[in-house]
Amino acid sequence: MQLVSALSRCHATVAVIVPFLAHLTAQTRVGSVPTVAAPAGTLTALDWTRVADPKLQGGGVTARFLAGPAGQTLAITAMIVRGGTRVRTLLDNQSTPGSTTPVSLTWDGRDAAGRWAGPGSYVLRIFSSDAGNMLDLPIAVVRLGITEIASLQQGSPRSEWQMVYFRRGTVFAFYATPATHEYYSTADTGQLADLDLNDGSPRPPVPVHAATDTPPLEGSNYEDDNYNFPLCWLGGATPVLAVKFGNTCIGATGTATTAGYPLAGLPIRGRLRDDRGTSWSNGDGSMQPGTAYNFTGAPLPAGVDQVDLALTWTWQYSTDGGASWSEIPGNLQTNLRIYTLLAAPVFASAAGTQNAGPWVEVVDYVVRWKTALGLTTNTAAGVAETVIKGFSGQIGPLTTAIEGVRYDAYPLGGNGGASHYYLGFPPTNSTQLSRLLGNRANGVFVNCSDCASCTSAMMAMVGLTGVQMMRLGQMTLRAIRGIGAPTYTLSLWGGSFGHGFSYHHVVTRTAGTSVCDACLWVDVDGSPGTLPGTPGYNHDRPWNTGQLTYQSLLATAGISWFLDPLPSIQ
Amino acid sequence: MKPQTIDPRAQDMAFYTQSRRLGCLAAGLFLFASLSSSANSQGEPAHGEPATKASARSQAAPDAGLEQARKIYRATEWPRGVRYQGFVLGQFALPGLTGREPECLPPAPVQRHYGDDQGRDRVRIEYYLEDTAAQAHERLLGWLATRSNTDPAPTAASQGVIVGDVGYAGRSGTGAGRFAWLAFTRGNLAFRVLDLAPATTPPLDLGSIALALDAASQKAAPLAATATVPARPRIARFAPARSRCLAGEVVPVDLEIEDPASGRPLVQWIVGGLDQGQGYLQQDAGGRWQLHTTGKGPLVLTVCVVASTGSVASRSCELVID
Repeated sequence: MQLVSALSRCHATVAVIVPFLAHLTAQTRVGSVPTVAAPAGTLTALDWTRVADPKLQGGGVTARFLAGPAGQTLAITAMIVRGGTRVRTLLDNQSTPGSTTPVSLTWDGRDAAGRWAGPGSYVLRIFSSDAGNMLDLPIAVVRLGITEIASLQQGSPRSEWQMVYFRRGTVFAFYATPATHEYYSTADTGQLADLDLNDGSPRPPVPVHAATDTPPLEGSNYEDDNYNFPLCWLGGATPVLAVKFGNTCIGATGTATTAGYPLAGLPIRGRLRDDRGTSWSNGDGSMQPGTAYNFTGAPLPAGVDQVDLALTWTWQYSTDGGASWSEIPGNLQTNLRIYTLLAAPVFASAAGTQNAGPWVEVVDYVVRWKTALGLTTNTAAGVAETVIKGFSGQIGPLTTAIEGVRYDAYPLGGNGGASHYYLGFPPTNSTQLSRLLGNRANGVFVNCSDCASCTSAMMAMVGLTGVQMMRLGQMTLRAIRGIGAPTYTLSLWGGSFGHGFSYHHVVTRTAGTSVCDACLWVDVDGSPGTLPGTPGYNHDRPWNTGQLTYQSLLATAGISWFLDPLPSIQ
Repeated sequence: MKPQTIDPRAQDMAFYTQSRRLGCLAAGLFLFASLSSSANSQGEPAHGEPATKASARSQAAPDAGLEQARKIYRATEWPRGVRYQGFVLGQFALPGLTGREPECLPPAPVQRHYGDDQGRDRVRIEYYLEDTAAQAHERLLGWLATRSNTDPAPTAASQGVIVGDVGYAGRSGTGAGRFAWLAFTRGNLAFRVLDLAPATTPPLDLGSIALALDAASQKAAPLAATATVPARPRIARFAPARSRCLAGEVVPVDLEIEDPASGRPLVQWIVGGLDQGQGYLQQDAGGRWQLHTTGKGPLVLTVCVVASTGSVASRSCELVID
């Protein structure tokens, strides 16, 4: 019995327990003459997870084997062993009837104490005192995950841009996405590894940064370890992502270690599928942590749009040098937000500065307006209509004008139509669009130059070409409804003041043959000089040719005009 | 890397041409070049004012809107007061309101908001420091020209507020005699004070605020008779540690600036690059500026320094991001 006891103790700590000894102890226990008979049972491996990352969602190790023959009951033990040490017992001498039905095992990647086992080579050992053989199934545990995603420009002309924020926390400041990659998930200060938190649990994917005005900050600086900025491509472009797999994680001892691959003879590759049903293509070769690989998706929608993608990352391994691939159980889910433009953004100056990229908030506004109003933005006319109707608001679900502004006239609480965001006629010709978008920082009132400069900048920024401001001369007005005004009026300034403009600024993208004007609605009910007014939105409204022309609806007589260039923005 | 000094308020068209030649400099510097918009279209310097820009400005076609306003408001007759070194808007306090940090990116004015105890912005002060009173007049004219009301704005004096060398007022439609804005010049300074929430009670006394602002501006040192322009901030050192680096690298930028009034100047960075290099700047824990490069290509880095008094200086240099 001393021998049995000693063997039992060893069983707890030494993994190398042969079925033969187990059989011997069973015979001894019943007190019979110790005779050795070959066990009749057989253990047959069917399939098992050769390569695993238990920290993936749905990840872990599974194995199936047959215990036979039928009609015999076997006491089966299964354990995970690493380097001669038992890590976890999965079956402990469990009585199992022999059958042609497979026995299934799972391992969640944790040891007996519940700690993550970490990358390395493991063995799933299955044995029974009732079986004549033992199964040693090798398992490679690796750590799979994404640390970097960058949108890539492919070929020419340009089809990809970094987006721009106009604030840095509470301060106005312009920078393109402050990063070399749009998605970054790495160890922050005090963290030991990129793919895992210090307790060994997987680092959660970084959610999409939803704020449209400022990048995320870490203290007073830009967040530089974990961010997920929106990406921007030309509508209809084929997106390409440069993806880097992480290389550091937390090992079994709680310290940082490598991801455990590449593995000799077991190449690994990543796969990407999005919730549009697209499998993103890549080179199909083996992949290594710390190296960037390109994944190419399906063409994006045309025009100005927003695509929120749920990306599912999976990995495969090959045992035959890449001739065939097997799935590594589990997946990683990340989300990306992609904005698309009608065409390349246009700015007042040919060369760029940091604010000369598509502003997140501008594109986001256009997409929200398009969605709210049920418009299309895959044509220039559609974008113009969306910007004009969205900017002026008070239509459908858009209960107010952009940022709640209203026209600077006495009856609305303002005064005589002063500009608050437009900084002056050319050559200054600059507008503080950021202040308007930043909770109308320069005040609630706007005039025509504010509206024209901001809408022209927004239109050009999402890809409308040929946009200019068009300055109209003095005029006597017909019935109009100013931006943010509750009703049409024939007395814009109220009281004894004249119903007219000393000048008026609108937008044209056709050198003056048609105009866009978000500052006011004209009256299109056939009696433009009387109340009540019928909403006439001014998106590409003919200037003076055809029916319901802008000039005839706006003013009582012909209007002089000339063109101002696209304003610079800040 | 060849740092060059660009003083936007002393530049002439020759510089503007040069900045165009530099190509990628153009967009950022367009902002500064446009500062020249405050042209003295009369081409006649006032008594005691420098004539340095008159010839260059006379080349620019006058804007029709400005010219129309010039006639309406008889701007050529506006008095030109004594010039000042500038006004430290950051030190101007309003009772009962909390001043926020001044901000400025040319061609915008120096601007400062004042908020109430509920965190609402109530007052906005816009301020330009120009070289000459005539240029300050152009700023005032610009504000008046972009009013779309056919009825001219009344003078501030006619509304009971005798402010500046010349001033105008915008009455608010919220009634009770409230102003929506008051704009005036004092020598080479141009101010516009706006009530950002004119319907809010208790009403602001914008007239008193404008008078206090005018009084404070006159406490500043007048410009010496020998000085042609107000003192600019001095950019003593401006030097990135490297002129070439890999995207993703952080390049320390040695910057030393001096404020002409020993105040705290505003530092604005402009990183040029749409199809070119990209990056951003922020200070490390020790307060040292660092350029974080994010995009490949040539990059023009411009530092724009707005003195506490409102004068501006800038310098640029080129880097290549591989």
